[in-house]
Amino acid sequence: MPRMERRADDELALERKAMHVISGEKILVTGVTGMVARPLAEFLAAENEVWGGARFSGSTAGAESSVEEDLRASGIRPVSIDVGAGRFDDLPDDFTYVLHLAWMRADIAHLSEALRTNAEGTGLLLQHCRRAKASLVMSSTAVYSANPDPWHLFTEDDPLGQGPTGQTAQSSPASKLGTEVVARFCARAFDMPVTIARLNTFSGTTSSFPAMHIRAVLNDAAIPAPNDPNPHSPIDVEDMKIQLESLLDAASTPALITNWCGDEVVTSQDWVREASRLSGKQGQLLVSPVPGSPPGAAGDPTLRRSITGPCQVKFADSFARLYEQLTDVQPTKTAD
Amino acid sequence: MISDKKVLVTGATGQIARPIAERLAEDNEVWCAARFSRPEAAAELEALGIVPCRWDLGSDDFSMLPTDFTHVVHAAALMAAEEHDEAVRVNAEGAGMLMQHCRSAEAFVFVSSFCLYQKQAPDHPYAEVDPLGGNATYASSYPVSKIAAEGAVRAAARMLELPTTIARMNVGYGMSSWGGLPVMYFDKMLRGEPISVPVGYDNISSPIAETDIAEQAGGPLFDIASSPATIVNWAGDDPVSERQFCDYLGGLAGITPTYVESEVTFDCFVSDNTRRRELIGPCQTSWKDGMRRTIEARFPGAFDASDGEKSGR
Repeated sequence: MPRMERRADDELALERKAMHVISGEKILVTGVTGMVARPLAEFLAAENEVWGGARFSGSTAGAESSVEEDLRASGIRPVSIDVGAGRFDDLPDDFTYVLHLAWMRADIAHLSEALRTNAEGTGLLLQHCRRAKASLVMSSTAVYSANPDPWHLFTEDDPLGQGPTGQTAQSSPASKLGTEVVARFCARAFDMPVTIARLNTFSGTTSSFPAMHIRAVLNDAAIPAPNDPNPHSPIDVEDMKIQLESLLDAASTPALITNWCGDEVVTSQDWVREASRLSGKQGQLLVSPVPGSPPGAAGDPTLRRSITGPCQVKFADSFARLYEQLTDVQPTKTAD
Repeated sequence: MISDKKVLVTGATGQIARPIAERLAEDNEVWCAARFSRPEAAAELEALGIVPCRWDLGSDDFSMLPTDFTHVVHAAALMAAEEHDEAVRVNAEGAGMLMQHCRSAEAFVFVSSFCLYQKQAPDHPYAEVDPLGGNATYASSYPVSKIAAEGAVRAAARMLELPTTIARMNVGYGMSSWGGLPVMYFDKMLRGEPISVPVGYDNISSPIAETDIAEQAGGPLFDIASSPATIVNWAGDDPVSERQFCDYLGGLAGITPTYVESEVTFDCFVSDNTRRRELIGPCQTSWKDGMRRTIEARFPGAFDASDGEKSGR
């Protein structure tokens, strides 16, 4: 990809680097309707040909769903794909970059379907797109085994597999592992550069975890937390956009595996207190441990920093902006 | 049973795959790929008409392996990796890479393990659809690498359109290698050592004799291979606790086994065999017959004393 000359005196170049890092590429973003995939795809669409893959279950023959229309309005070309079925009839195979964020969140009763989509589907998709210069496969820190120390920073070589059994995604540890290992296999089997990014908490959009908690404070709703303290290392979605290029550049064979988290450690207690202060309300954080779940979820950003450099957005600023955004609109409105 | 085929058996120096390779070698050209950390093993296999081939599951180098195998049984695994990431790399990526190398095969059997099931009550009969997420007290990286490996094998089966069976091994036992848990425990009994059992409950398994293993792997498991992969528990028909079979074998030998509770034991699982029975039928050997014969053969004379008493000598 064309890289900007980075000269200390050229602030414009730096700004361009921050704004439009990747240009002129043909990029597939799977799971494009998702909370993280969509802002990334919209960002990339400014200077690239971006295809947004999803099932688009709302669309009927000859008529696009409103989601597809919205995507088109953002410069993204919607394409119907079913990752689990491996059905890619309408999907070109000449993408230069792939961001694979589609995954099936499922409870444990649907583990087999989750594995079909998350493990098998990842293989079928990457095989289809094996000519790409780089593929970023989104994983999650759910692959790590729980650590009893809430302040433990998960590192890339920590034990795997005995991870959080989150209420809504109990199949995550096994199926995210499946996603990862299949991506690793594809990197070697097809000699295709792959980055596996283990995302944890992100911030900066109205559907992010901190935003959920701001809404709960504003609505006087109880907020469950697995532990007090409950540390996270949130990364702002703006930083994710900036870091995409470096992470794709670092894609390798065998696959690069890195945490994708922010540089600061913040507890959910901290941000609920802050939302309470700003709103004059009393946020109700209730400690409700989930057996097998880790008390903390912060990742060690060392490896990622060595690839992307430090994060640009301070969490305090990210949170303040988010609070403003959520109080500007109707506080009771839920994000889609 | 298949015949006149070209078969690759990985890990055939080990306890599960050795009887499979031997049985298949009666009617087929059989290659055994393994690290051969015990060099004599190569000569032993050669003497049985099996082609030994030095190969490392974690490596990208497949140059020593032909690509025209018609059938593959992949049983090689790295069990005691300290690093989870290394266990995943070797066992899971390695399984995928082997499938890619052998993608023209008619059928591929991947030997998985019950250890990947999430632990439930000690007498819970585990079925193939049960939750995964095992935690082996004896080798913490093993279950996660098996879960990951199954993910890779499932994906590769569809990507390569390679008919595949994932067979989850329970407790196997017999003449090969170290012989499995019954042999290990009997050896402890002979030496007067206590047998480790979990704290507060019994380890119950569904042990399968190596004769059944060899018979089922020699044809039936190939026959049910498909893409997407067929997943099936691979276990004996009858559940039995460690104490039950140790007491039984001890009784035959006139020894009273002793037990000690421990946090670290060989976690066991009862198998729900509905799917296997439907697909390939029942096992032939009961645990009592299989274990008695195995111990008689491995420890000649071990049961003589008590036999003598019974017959009044």
